[in-house]
Amino acid sequence: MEYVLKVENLTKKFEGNYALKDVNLALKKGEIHGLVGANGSGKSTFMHILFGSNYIKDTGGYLGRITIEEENIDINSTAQALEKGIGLVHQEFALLGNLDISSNIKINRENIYPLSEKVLGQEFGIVDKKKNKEDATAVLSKMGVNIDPSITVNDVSINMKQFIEIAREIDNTNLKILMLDEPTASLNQEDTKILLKSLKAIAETGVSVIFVSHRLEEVTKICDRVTVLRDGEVISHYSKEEFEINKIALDMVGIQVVPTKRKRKVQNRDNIISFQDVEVTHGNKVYKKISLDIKRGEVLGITGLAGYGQEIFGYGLMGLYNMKGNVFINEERVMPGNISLISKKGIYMLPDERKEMGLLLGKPIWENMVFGSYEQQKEFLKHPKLKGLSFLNHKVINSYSNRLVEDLNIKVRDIYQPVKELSGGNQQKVCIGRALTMNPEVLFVGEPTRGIDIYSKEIILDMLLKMNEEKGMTIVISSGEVGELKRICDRIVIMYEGEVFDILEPDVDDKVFSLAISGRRVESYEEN
Amino acid sequence: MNKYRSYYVPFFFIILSIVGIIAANVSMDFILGQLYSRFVRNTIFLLALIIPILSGMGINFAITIGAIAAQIAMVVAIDMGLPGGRALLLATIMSIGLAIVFGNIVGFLLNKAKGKEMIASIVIGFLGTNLYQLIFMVGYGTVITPFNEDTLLTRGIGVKSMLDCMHFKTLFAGVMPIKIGNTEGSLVPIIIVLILASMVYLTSRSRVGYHMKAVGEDLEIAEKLGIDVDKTRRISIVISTVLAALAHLMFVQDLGVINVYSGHLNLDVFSAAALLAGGATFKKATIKNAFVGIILFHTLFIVSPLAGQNLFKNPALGEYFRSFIAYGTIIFALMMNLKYEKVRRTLVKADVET
Repeated sequence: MEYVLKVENLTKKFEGNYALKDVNLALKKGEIHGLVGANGSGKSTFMHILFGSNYIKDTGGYLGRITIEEENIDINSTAQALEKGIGLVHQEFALLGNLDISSNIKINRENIYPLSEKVLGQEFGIVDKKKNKEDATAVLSKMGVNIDPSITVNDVSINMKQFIEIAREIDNTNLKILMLDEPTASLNQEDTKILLKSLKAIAETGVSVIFVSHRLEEVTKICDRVTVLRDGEVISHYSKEEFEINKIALDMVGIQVVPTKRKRKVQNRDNIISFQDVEVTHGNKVYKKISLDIKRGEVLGITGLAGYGQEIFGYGLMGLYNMKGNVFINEERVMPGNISLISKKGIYMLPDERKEMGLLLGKPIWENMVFGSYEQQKEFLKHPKLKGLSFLNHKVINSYSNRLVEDLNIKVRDIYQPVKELSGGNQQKVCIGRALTMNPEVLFVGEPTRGIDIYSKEIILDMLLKMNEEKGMTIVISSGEVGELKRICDRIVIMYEGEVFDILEPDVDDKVFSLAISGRRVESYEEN
Repeated sequence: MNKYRSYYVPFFFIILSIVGIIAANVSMDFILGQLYSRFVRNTIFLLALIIPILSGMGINFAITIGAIAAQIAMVVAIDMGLPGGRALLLATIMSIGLAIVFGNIVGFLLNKAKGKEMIASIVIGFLGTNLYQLIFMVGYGTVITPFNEDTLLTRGIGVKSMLDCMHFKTLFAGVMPIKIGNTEGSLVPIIIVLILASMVYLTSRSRVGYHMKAVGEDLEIAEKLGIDVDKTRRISIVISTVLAALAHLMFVQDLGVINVYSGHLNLDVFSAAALLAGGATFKKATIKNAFVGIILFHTLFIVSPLAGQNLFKNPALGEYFRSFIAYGTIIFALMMNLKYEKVRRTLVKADVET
């Protein structure tokens, strides 16, 4: 079998740290090759080198040999990578929201009226919108998706965006290697199935696929071979016959992962926060007549299909969404959105959009961990009496931050590294670190394990449980990962079409959960 | 409500204009006549601003540089003493050439100032003005020998501050004559404006136009898609500068006199204000905005000194009013933009969650 891509001794250093070290990989024509590894293991770096991303060049380029179809090449720009037939589906979409779907799919490969090309040249040729739309429809339907390509991308669902992103790459007739970075992270089960099916179809046409995912079930299901990366080095290769999820998982993290499980505590507590018939509006979405009681000291999970309002309680209370109605904290009525009062009452939120709302991206790790906590943690100030005017006590802060970095297993150079240089999972851990520092009474956290490898996932879940058990912190987790919620929550709220559909005990049967999530009830369960 | 947001500014200007027209107490014929010449003089400047906005660079205040290119070309053409038609042709060719060179320099500089293009372009405009004035004030007669001694000041150094070019003005007289209000004009300049407008439109529909939109929306994403961001931005500045040069040629042609040292000043601010008055923002501008803006803004410009004269017996008051409107519009648009930005961002976020 011929190899489309051969990578030999690929090495990349970021300021003295190896992100990749002597990585060897050969990709056969038409195969789906899984690339797995923990956060910061170098998967993204690998793909960005192949894709000629600018920051690779800006940080000193790479070492090693890359051969595509027997031709030794030196990739130094994205345009060049595209020309060589390499496509990358970005984890955080590279879509232009103000343009329509067809323009997004055909970008850089626009159809041009032939006459205008002759007169005005390649660059200034007039774009043939109609033909673009035809092409876009064709490529989308090839993936099993039907949508009007003249809709602007801002107006489509996140699932659809994922398909558009992939359609853009396979529309490239020259495509030889398609790399996908966590393509299923934001998809529901239905759409994941469609996606995996269309990936298989793409591979059958002779395109080689590099598939990155944290979901090992998916990887073992569709991949022909798997390469495991750990700390920038290739640990092992597996071919289809040898797949074994536990073994792969062990290779990824190097140590056995023990799933966290909550020891259930006695119920019957008083309400710490109580929402009574609140109305939440956001954009053109309205959630009406919502009631929910959050009990002191519990771990409450909120789940449901994407867009059904799992996040509204935290976001509404903190004023990110417009919330109206009766909200009681410790039996005392408060105005939702009055952040200074609400944070004084010991409520803190980690939004699921960590990059946009949760982090100071350009600032170092230590600052992200202690920022805003000076009132709670007086020892961070040199002269606590001066309050905000005081200098920071860097000695205390440094030792504190170093301890947290170690506890949370954050992969960093040192605590002075800017957060934006960290991988997504490590950024999330920094967020959790700040929640620890703030030590609130109630913590709202959104999608705490999204895009995080199995090992770090357990660390984060463990940390959340520890905060709950040791400090009695009430934790409200909104997440799409039902399996995780079932392990750590006391109660799980199911949202359906913007309403609190049901509140379930975590030990209820899986079937009941999946029915409830899709808005149905099991007869026998109701009778109980 | 959001649907009408883009009409707030034009609507405000319509009301101001109506009030101004009533206060100035002048005939419609006079206003229409004045509007014709202002349309001819200024519209292309507004067109020049559209493409950089498309590329996400905000308002290109460095269109001053394009005007300078045209001034240089015209001073040289007049200095050579060619007859009307040929002088204008030579000036056009020369100014396009110079504008392409200058545009590339400005584009290069603005690529070094990503995210702060507007303030950078203002300063580049100032710098260009100073260099230009230095050359014509000190260079001519010392280092550069003019073709015709008459273009110099009597002391022999420096170009005269006013150069006559009436033969440009009369060039189109009598060709396709029309009468607008009380002014006898020619259809030719209007046709030129329309041709340039359609060229801007076609550029926005071309491949490079799509890339500009991509770059304008998000630099990083455009780069990930394999678009040459720097080149796209440079192209849009070159186009803008060339259009500005042509605009200045039209301006001087219609005016009939070259203010060598000050003719190109303030054009940037007034053009920006007019475009914004037409409902454009720093992120979004269309040809429609340019046409609406030129009419609304200049109606107000025409009537405000007369209104000042009528109401307060003081035309100077109207002059101040003009500047106040120009800068006020820009500030207002700036604030509206920031507000709109915020709304847009949260809307996008809402979408991510659905």
